[in-house]
Amino acid sequence: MKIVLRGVTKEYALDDETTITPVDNVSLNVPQGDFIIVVGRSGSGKTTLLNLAAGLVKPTRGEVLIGDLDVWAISDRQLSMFRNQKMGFMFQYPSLLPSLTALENVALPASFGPRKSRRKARERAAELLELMGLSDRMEALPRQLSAGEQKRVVIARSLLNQPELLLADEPTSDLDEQTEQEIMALLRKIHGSGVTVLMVTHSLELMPYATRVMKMENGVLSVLAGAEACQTGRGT
Amino acid sequence: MNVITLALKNIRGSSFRSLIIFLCVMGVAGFFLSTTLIIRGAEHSLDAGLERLGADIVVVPAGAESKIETALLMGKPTQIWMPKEKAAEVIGVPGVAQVSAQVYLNSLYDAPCCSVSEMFLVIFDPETDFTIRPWLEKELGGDLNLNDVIGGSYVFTPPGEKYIRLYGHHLTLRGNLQATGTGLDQTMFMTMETAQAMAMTSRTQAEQRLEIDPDLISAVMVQVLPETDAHKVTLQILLDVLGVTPIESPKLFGTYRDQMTGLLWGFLAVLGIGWGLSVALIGLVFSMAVNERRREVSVLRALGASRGFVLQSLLAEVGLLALGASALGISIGAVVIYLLRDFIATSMEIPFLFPSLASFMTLFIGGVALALATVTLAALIPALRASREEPALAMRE
Repeated sequence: MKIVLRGVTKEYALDDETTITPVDNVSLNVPQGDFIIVVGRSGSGKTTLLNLAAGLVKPTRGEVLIGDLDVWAISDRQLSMFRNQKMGFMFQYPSLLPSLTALENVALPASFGPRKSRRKARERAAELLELMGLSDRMEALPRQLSAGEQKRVVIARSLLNQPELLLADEPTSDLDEQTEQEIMALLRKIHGSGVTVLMVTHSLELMPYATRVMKMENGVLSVLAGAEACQTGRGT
Repeated sequence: MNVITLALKNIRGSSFRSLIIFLCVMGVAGFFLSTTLIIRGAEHSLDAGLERLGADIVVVPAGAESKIETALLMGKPTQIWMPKEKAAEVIGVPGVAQVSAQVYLNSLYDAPCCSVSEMFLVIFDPETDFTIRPWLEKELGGDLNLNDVIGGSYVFTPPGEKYIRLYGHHLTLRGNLQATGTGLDQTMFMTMETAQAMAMTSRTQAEQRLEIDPDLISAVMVQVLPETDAHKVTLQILLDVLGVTPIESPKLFGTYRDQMTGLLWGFLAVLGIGWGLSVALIGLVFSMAVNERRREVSVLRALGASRGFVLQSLLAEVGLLALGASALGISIGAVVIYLLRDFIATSMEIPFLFPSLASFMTLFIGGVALALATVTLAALIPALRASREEPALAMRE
């Protein structure tokens, strides 16, 4: 699934006089099957860009197309169903529901989908957790899991509905080097299965995993490296 | 996982917040039930008392209205008298179908000759009575014999004895009337023949002689003709029979009904204030809780939950709490009121009869519905705000 952002700007009014523009007239084309990493410093507008691409925030100006769908031209219910069925999310902050077990958290997206998908949700959630090496942690609550385990539960959750597009916001932040590599290896594997990946990070070391790297600075997006450079790790 | 399961898990996950809302709703529901139960209990009691009386109009000596009310309501013995001829005068009033005279007496206070102290005694005439006899025929299959009595629900033969002794005279308790919650429950009913025998015994066996003047009566029970307006008949008695006050049955306990209305408004005012405070407190607690969980809501939205689902799951949380809390609060309130029913009647000086099961179930359902409406009202604005917020906005903060 491809994503197209055309001249997208997002402004937030802090008060009557002050407005900030985390994303300023950005155009981005993410073709199907691509693995794009957007790098940038904290506050550069990466997360806002990701949220715009996911239809989680409405642009002040511009157009967001996912597939051939203008996400802001459809109803909330349709957009929600679209997110549920076509997209997977990995958030920067801990995003597991604290009152649900790992298994329930992974199966959660099925609750918002079609009725028939709910029946097999637990089964598939268990399979995914097993795939993530967490078969013995299924009944653990988020607070009983390590940071790395939580990230892996989030990845499992993002894959429950077999999405065509995976959006990842700093998926390796706060992780040690070994866990970081494990998570990135999983993302590469997911990408290898045909899923389009759009990831934002502040870590330049992750560039080799991407097919294309872009840089976000003061709300403006620019190309940092193409596919060839990424593969050889010479992006910078 | 459906909305209810998610709500239940969230309730379990935030036990302190849930506990505050639970206690708040439980308190309001319990108070609602208790106050309403007291008012309904008092009304039920008055209605049962009037039904037991079985007369459309009660004629008493002029100025004795409050005395008869106190006697019938609280079982406090009273001595009111008027000439026997008044009964004959009343029956001559147009619209009157039948009349029956009654004489009111009382047992002695703390006297060895009486096994019960200061009991209200109603003497009826079996020849004309239409209030007690139907019950006697239905329950006992006939009239009372000499020295037989029937009692209100609280009248009993002293343990280890075969008779009730009044003025040294032995009386046999043949049965008890159903409870009314009024003074009639502590009243003993007997025929004039038995009362005369008791008066005779008192001359030699009692600390004080019982005098019954055959020319005096205490009250006249009146039944009007079918399809006749009792109010018009009452006015006619007032005009035609001098020295008496006719009281229409529904107005018999007018003073107490007025007091109860005042009490009801007082309770309602307190309930209203309590309810308003609860709405504010629940709203505040829930608003804080929703604010804390903005990210959680954002995650749900990002994972594909529609605004409707988020709204439903947040309202389901408080709804389930309200359901459990109101059911428990109402049940506790009902048990407390049931256990303290005598204390309530005595301390508040009101008649009280625990309402029927159907009436209680209506109150139960009403209480639960009120609790659900309360929490929905309190939680609606924070829940709506949370469901309508841009998911990414909460994530940024």
